[in-house]
Amino acid sequence: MRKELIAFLAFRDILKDRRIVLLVIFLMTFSFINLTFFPAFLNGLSNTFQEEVIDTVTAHILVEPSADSKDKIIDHEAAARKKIELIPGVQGVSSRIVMPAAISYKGRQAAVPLIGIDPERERDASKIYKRIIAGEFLGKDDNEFIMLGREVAGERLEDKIGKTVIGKEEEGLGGVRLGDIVKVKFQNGVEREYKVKAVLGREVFSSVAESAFIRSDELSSVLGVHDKASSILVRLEDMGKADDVKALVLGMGIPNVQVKTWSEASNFAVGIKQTFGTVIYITSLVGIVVVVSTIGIIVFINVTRKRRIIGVLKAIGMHSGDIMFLFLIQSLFFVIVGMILGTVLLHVLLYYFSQNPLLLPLGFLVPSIGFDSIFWAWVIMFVSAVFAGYIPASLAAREKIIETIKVVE
Amino acid sequence: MIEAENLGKIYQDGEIRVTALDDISLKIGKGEFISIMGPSGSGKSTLLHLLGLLDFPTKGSIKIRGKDVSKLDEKQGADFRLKEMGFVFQFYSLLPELNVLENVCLPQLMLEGKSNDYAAELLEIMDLAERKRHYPGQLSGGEQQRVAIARALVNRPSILLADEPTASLDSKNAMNVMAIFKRLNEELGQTIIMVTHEEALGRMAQRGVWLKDGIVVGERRF
Ligand SMILES: Nc1ncnc2c1ncn2[C@@H]1O[C@H](COP(=O)(O)OP(=O)(O)O)[C@@H](O)[C@H]1O
Ligand SMILES: [Mg+2]
Repeated sequence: MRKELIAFLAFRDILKDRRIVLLVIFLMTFSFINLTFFPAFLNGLSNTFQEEVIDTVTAHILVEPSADSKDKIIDHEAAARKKIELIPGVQGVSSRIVMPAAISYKGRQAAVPLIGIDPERERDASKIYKRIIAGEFLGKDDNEFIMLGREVAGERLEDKIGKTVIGKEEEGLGGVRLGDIVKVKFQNGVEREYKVKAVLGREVFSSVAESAFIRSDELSSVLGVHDKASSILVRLEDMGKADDVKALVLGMGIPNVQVKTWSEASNFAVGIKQTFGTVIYITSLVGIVVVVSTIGIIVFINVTRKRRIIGVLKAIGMHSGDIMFLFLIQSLFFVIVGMILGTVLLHVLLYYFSQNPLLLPLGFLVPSIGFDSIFWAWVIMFVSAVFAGYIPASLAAREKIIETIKVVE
Repeated sequence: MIEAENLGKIYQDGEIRVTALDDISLKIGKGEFISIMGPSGSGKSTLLHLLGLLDFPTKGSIKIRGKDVSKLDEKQGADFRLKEMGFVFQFYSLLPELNVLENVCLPQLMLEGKSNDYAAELLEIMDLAERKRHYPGQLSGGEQQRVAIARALVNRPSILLADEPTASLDSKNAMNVMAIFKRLNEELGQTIIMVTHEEALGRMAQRGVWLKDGIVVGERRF
């Protein structure tokens, strides 16, 4: 029998009860969103984590003293840095010196990691200059200046970005303002005063917010060291090349260092990604169950209601396979319309959130999803629909004609 | 036209065996209008289902126009029914989402992929020309049954089979359906096999066959 005729019958049947159609399509659309938007949301969340770590701590490649080096410091950082700068595709290289220090202000004290940076190089290698809430990034001769993380300064986050996120007024140094003088006590006992030039670290999940920054030449001179670094951050034009560049850096034979790519260096962010992956997997299973049961129930109700008509059609001469095909068309119609609407809605949502990122305590979140995930959601929906429609349809199609047309007297 | 020999049908439901038809031999000529009568449970529907290839006999054979149809498989049987047989059931059997004309055209579309004027012509005969665009839900039971008859005839089947076609109708509509059957038989030479438990209606055929407990207990020309 001609497939067009079966399709015609299938659509006539669908269109008879439009409210049900709308309901089913809504459920399918919702299921698709459930399969895609939630993962996109979590994906965005782990990207936020990952980007924050890359932008402020690890860059794309992180060179650190090797675990067995005795001073936990990189010697001859300038030579190493210059060699790395020559590698094609390297966007910026910046050395840091990190030391614990105690900062005091108006009788309050905070113990912080004090990070010595080269502000110019840091602009190419990291994004901490973009984390400024108030004030300005350190400049060339700013040896008497310091930048404080938001939690160190005790800034209230809501003051600066207009929304209440968190923020205890009485945290850190209890509300240091720009231009205030703080006293820093270094590990070697030296004490110096610095003027606050900036407060940084918008995101709550941000090591920047818990640190303090001065120029690395200043820190080196206080510590009495020269040409040393605690870490070298390397930013690439294409983070996808991290493994290649890592191999090149390793090949340079810089003594007593270990070289890690961003994914190796940020175990935490990678762990979060994997955790979310598991969560996504579980919610996808729930999504599949929703699709399968919705389609299954709809087709089941439909075939049950039409039991006798199916018998009549078979008596007239319709083959069982054609009956199956009829219900298959219906399931596929529902699921395909749901997939199309769901894909459109997903992109509307993604667009909306790309324009209006969600501000969570963790930072800005832009939901994002790769085409491969969307593609898999399509496949899952499609296969679920075929599978879910197949069972009740085949039960109906296989039933004996005389059973269905029997008149109960 | 139809030759049934030693037909038997036993329904087996687990432990329980029901002999619906014991041993029935029956010949029906071309252009004959035959009614199958008998009390409820006597096997009338079972016989009609076997003759209409809706079910398989447990013994015996059926030949239609010399062809042994009891050997047809499910698909071949379906194709044979579509081409050679028209069915009218007791209950309303139209597709509610198709209008009257579409319902009548359906078997034609299934067989040939296209329809012709014959459906409209049949509706004219059934006195339903005005209701072509109506949906089954908008018709009375008698009208729906006449649409079903038109649908059964649209592929010009060799045999029209009807199982209690008037049982759901009031007496006026029942007589109307019987009159249509008679006319189809007399004017078009349509072969008709009709099952009914109402003697009065059965007598309107040319020949009656009475069943009881799965065997033929009487036969008469009217
Ligand atoms: N599918 C079935 N399974 C078991 N027994 C059946 C089935 N169909 C009919 N029968 C039995 O076969 C006998 C004949 O039934 P049927 O042909 O429907 O009689 P009629 O149409 O004359 O009332 C009855 O005893 C009935 O209960
Ligand atoms: Mg019966």
